[in-house]
Amino acid sequence: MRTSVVGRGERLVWANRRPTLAGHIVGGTIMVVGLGVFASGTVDLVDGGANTVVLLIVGLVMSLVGAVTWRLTMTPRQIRVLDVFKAVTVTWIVIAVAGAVPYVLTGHFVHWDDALFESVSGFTTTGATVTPDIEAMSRGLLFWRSLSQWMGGMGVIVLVVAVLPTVGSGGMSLMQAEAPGPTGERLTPRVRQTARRLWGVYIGLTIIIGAAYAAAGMSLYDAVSHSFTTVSTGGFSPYQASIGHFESAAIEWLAIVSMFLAGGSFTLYYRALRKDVKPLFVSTEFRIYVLIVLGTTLWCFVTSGAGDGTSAGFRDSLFTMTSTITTTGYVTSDYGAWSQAAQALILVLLPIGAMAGSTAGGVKILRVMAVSSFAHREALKHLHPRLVRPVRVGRGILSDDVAGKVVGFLLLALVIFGGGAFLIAATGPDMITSFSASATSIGNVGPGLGELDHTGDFLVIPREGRAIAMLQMLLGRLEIYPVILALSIVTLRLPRPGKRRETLHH
Amino acid sequence: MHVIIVGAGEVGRFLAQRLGLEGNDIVIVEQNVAVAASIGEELDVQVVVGSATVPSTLAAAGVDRADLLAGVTQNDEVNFIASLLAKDRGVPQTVARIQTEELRGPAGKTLRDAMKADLIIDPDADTADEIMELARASGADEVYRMSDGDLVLVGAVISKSSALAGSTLAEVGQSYEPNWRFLFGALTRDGETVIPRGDQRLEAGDHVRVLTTRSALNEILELLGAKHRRAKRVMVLGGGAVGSRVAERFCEDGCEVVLVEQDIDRAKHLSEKLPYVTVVNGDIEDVDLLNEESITRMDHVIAATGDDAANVLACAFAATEKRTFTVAVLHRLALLPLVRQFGIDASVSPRTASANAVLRHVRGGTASVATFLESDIEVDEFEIEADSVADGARVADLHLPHSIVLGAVTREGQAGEIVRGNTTLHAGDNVVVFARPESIPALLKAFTA
Repeated sequence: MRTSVVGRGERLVWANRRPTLAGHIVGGTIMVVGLGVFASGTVDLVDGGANTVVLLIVGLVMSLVGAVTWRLTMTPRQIRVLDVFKAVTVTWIVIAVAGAVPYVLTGHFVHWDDALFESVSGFTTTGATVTPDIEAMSRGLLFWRSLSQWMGGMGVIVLVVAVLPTVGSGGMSLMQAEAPGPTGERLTPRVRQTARRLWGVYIGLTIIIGAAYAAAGMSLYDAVSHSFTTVSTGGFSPYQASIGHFESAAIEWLAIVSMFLAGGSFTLYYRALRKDVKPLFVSTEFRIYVLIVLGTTLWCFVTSGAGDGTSAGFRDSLFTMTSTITTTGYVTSDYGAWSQAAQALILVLLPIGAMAGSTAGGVKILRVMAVSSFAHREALKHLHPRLVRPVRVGRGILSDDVAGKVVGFLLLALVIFGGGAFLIAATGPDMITSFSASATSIGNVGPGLGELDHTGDFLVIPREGRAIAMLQMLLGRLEIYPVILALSIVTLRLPRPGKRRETLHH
Repeated sequence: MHVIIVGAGEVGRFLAQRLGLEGNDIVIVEQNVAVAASIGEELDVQVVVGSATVPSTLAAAGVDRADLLAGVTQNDEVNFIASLLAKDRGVPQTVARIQTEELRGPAGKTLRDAMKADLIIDPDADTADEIMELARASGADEVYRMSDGDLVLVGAVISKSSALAGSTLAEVGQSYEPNWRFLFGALTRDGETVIPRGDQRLEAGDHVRVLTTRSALNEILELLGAKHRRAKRVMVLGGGAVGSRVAERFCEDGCEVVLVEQDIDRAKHLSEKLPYVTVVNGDIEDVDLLNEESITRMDHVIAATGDDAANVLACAFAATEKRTFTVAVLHRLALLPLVRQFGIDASVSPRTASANAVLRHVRGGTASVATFLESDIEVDEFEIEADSVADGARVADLHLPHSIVLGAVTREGQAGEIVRGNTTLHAGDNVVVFARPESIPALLKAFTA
């Protein structure tokens, strides 16, 4: 770039930019996260809390560092698949660490890994907590806790793609790697428009839910905090007793409807808003989603009192099941005292999740449908060895390679679930606690069973076990492949003949 | 009549032969020199070599004095353009073969209107229709609806157990006096087809065509000793245009359908298009595959690949189990005498299916036409015009040639009635007749004013 010497200043800056996708995206997201921390500081300032200064300064510094990184890097001309997965994984690890900084610097957590756990649990919209007394936190910090879930819900990278102009062609693969659910459907020909529309629906839903909460009797602060964690299916609440704190039937019904909406496909919502309502209602996945919520509710309502269990009211059953299926993790009732039949159902539902394209975690109903169709085909192949049959998902058809990926995904999810449960159990907790901790982490739900039920928090699990849970949350939120592929870069980068050329290239 | 036929494929050849027999002048337009040469030797027609999409070729074929142009190539676009050009040059009637399913539906309406063709045919769809008729009246090997479905022409083989075997037609007729509900219109024995007279004796193994009313169809099939059962399990061999349609319709009828397709990409396409059909990829000549899919346990086996020999072999294999009703699609008529020897129940040809539609159109006054694969006898339906010779006359007084039998008559608001010698005809009556093509002009003379 020798010409830049005689060029204008702007070209000089351009010439100095490093072409690195991961750096570029990390810069952008750190900037956004910094703004979020700053906003939390402002909330604390209004509230007169104790953490105002720390939050404001941390927010400012992060935004600046992010902005500078953003300016100094650029999207490379050619983006490889691995670059995308690397960028997404690195970004998520960096924002998890960045999100933990306010928790550490305010002195709220003594151990850095507790702060990291809270941050990971926030961004991955899990909602599991290691805060012994939530209400003792400053409201600014609690606001940051809710805000981190809101950012993580639709995906920080999707937001970056939507807002910042320089990502361009790599955007779709970035979004597919980050946005929850396997629907990489373009709503518009341009990626940025698609990202904007998704975030538009997301923000719109947040505002509606927030307004409804306020109308139902929450204070403005509570309404905003809860709307953030409802629409992102996160489940953090500034109160120890979660939604149960309000003791209001209206708020609980509202939360049920809102959680249910957040568990639906945002792409279908966007279409419905465009007067194209049909795809939503004819969607087989949507119908199954409705049926699962109603069916499991009925099961819990009927069986919760069986054996030694205490019976639950219909609203409590519906609330708990909606909260579990949408992976939100709000609690209102002591479901830990329900019958084994009801609790077993909760354990099964924890890692499943709601619709693809929603903010819910877990493997998603769509994938379960695909794998069922796949299994059905394989069974039929015993009868008709040369059968030709596509894997169907509702009205759609998955090509065989996509179906293979989905089956692989479910298999990996099973390994991570089982392996994680085993490792957590190895650190001490009992079996039910360990299995539900593993399920709730990979499904990004929050609460679990055993010692993790409505009153418990992750403090009952030793530090080593929590580290495993943290990894599971990240794997669950990024839907496994990006993380595993990014890790595989490490092996791919081992020295070999082609390596030298690559270093010369930079 | 001067007729131009575009395309010397199966349909084109068959049409040329049929229309030629009725004394029309036929010109065939064919692009392929070798095919054109062979057809010139085979049929008494004029052949113009060239593409029918070029006006000069059509001019050479005498488009200016043509009464009918039939575009029956495999290529929709050629048929379309030929029909359009012919209409432009003032040809009164055009027929176009359109195979693209979408163009035959509502989406293709604008195009069809623009084309101005008087008749649009699709041999594959017509063949599928014929197969379904056969399957629904299983036991018969030919089924044609006449007079809007009031009358049915059914072909079947007289079995050994039939009560009719051994008696003459006159005896059969006597035992069903006074109201005949069926009429034997044609009889095939040892490869020869005749229009039977009263002294004709029926034997087991005779292939007969019986005209009957729709309600008496099952009764007549039982009388002939032809099997009759409802299909539950169906195997369709070959997922082409005919096979896929047939599979889809059987599925709609609630049958369990296995479809065998050789081409893996086509099989994939079909498996996506037909969710309730079990699609299997393989060669239909592969006996292992047929056994794997338990072909002999099927109620129906429809062989509809493009390969006649494979169709016959697969059907013959399936027919080893007597339960199975087999239908083979045949493209070459020469194979027909062989088919029944193999125990195959019925065969259908795409060429006759569509040719019937064209003949029906050409005749104008005819409502429906059926032709038989192995003979030149055909079944037509005519309306009697006012003040014609037949108006008000008794059938016996018409003195029609022996190569014509009047089968049944339908009148406005009445069920079909089998024609007797003393039946009086009136203007407006629809009459179904069995006839050889060369005697059709004599019939038209009696029926038109």
